Amino acid sequence: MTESSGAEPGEEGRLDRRGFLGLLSVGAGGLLLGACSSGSSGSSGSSTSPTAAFPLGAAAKASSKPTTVTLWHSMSYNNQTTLQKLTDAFNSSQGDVHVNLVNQNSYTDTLTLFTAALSSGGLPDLVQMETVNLQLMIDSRSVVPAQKAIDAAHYDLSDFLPSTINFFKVQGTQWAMPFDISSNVLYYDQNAFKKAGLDPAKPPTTIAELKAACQQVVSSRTAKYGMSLKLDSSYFEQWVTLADALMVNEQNGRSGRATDVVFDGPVGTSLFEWYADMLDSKLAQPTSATTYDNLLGIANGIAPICLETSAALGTIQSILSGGQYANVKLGVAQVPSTTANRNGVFPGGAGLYMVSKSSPAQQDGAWQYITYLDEPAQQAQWAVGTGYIPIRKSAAALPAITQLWATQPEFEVSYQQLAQSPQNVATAGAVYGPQAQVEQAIDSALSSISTGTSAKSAMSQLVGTANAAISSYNARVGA
Amino acid sequence: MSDADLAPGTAALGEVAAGASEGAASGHRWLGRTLREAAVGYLFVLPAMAVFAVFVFYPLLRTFWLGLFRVAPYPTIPSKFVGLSQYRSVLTSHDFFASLGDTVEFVLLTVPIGIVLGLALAAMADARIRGIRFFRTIYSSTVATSVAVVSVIFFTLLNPTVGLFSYWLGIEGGNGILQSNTWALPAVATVTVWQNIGFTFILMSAALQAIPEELLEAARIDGAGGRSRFWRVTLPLLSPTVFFAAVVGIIASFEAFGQIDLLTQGGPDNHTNVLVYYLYTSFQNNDFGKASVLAAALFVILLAVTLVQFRFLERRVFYG
Repeated sequence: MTESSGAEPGEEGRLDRRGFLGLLSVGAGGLLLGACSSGSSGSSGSSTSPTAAFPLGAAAKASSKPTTVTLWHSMSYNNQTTLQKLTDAFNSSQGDVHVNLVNQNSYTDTLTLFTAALSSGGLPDLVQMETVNLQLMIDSRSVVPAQKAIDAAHYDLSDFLPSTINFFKVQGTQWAMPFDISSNVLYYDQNAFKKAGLDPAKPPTTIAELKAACQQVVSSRTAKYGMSLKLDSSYFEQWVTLADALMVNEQNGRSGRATDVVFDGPVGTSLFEWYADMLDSKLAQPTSATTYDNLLGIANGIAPICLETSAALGTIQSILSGGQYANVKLGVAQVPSTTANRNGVFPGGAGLYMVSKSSPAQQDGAWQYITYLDEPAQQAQWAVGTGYIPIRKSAAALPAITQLWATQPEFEVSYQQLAQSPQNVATAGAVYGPQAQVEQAIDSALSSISTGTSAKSAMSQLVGTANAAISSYNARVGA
Repeated sequence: MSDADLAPGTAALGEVAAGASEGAASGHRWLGRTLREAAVGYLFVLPAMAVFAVFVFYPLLRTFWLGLFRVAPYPTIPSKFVGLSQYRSVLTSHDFFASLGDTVEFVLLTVPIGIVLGLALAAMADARIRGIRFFRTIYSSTVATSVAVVSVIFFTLLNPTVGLFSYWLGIEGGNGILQSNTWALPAVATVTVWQNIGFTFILMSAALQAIPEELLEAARIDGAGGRSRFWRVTLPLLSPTVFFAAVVGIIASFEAFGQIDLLTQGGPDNHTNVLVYYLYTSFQNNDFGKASVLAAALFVILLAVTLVQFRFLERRVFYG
């Protein structure tokens, strides 16, 4: 849903540049500026009309084989290698479809290029889009809803982790299939917990406990700050959700097009007060939404607790295993809930969208490829290779995953957090057009709190900006 | 290019020259000659004009035109003509004025200081002492660095958690310089001045070396001291270069983007949200109508500033 829940430092996603800078900061910098390849697409000729049934089996009946399917993705390093392996296996498993991977570097670049291709041509057949772009993709009128293929193939979704499916479902239509899924988790230094007299096995489960833990860290002089509060919208959104409150009206945009934000209710207001309190009392250090200073704060002992996406776990562990930070013993826990009454979290990451301009054979090929990737065995391989969560319940029971979780239980936290989330409109996550823009406004509001603006005026200014963005967007799409 | 390639062109030139001399011989054919000359002249400019027309003039006009539309986030949805109302609403918004204020502040922080520092360095490096070439190389070296590289280096230096500056200042953790409402813009401006100083230095050095020694010598003989020689001889002779540096510097500052994108992304809380960055975020939000209005505004502002400079500032310029 947000940038940070979709990407790990320097590994992929919208955070390419940020990750780049973050890695540079710890001196582990590598040039992540991959070649920007322009996507070629085999999409030509007939496209299906929006009302037509899904062309199931078209690839097998195609006159020339194999049908080429182009996927635009934003995976790099381990993630890209794993995706390539899975794709190679798919290509050699059958003769009807051949999938070409095109790396577009980041989710942002993918969106920009996709938008450009809508008018200039050269669209892919499949595109990996960040969760935050769901409404944009629906409004682009360029997508074949996965629902059509699901209906045509009587595809069974019962084994999927419900929260990963429900996010991409709006008013009964499944728009995309989940692919790389992660969620925010709490990271902390177990050694610092011990030093401060806290139990490393019992990390805080509510934000009140989180504050108490921070007080103990600071008063015991274990660290300068108790925690890092990254001034990024995703944690605020997660806490609103955890308190069973909504971000936007129309049931989080799930029952109709959202027209206003609603996070300025009691939950959001008290969260802003909590931020102001934590920052003013110096229990938390503010860190920028565009860096990984929160993680570095754990590493260099400035602040031993922070929140970050679970997708960062693999990178964190590889940095820690370098031995430079031998004093740190990493702990991972679910995001503390806002109140004692815990609702659940929404997923972050990205989904795969099928493009309606593609030929029937390519659409069918794209669907075959998606279902291949989402099979339990492939999901297990994907999760082990990348650190993303397996989105199939039966994948979680496969030996590859159970072994990983037995040796490194940190990797299980994010999966359990999503699996244990009750399914309701709050945990489905908000869906509205200018979501990225509103999230930037939230970042900005949190940052203004950190520089002394009162929680109240930060909130009222934010609501004004956010609602203006939504009404401008809605007017522009003619809604 | 071989001689054979050149031949047709040379032949054509020869004909033109012949035509011109014929025209000069008979007075009544004067008009025909000017027309022909003009036509040939336009013919020579044509290729350049064609390129400009396609890549500059057309996009420019299109930008103004696009500002009249409420553009959908995707080309699959039709845009709606809204006339001047979008210009009115964007250009009277609080965000626009805040952004304009940031931009003006940024220009004021970068241009005058950059010129003074560049001039001072050039004056110092003009001295004839041993090893001065070394210093000249150092002073001009920032020309060879890209904005991206400079920004990444300073971003790391200014980082509150691992940056050297925070360590030296003893302000580790929390909000750093780039996260401070007060200091973010001056910090970005400082990085910009540092980056641009090599260019200004080279400009000023070249201008200094072009000043005829006789003039300074004459001033010395007339009894002018070092200070008065600088203010009354050197500076007036440098004024075309200073003027050029001011015009180019102001335009560059208005258009500064890379360092802002890499250092602050317009933050904290929009305190470094200069016009170009504001325009860029509108593009990012796929709001092309609003972005076009901002681009048109930026163009008009820059045109006006440049015209004013040529009208008033240039009067004080002395073209020796």
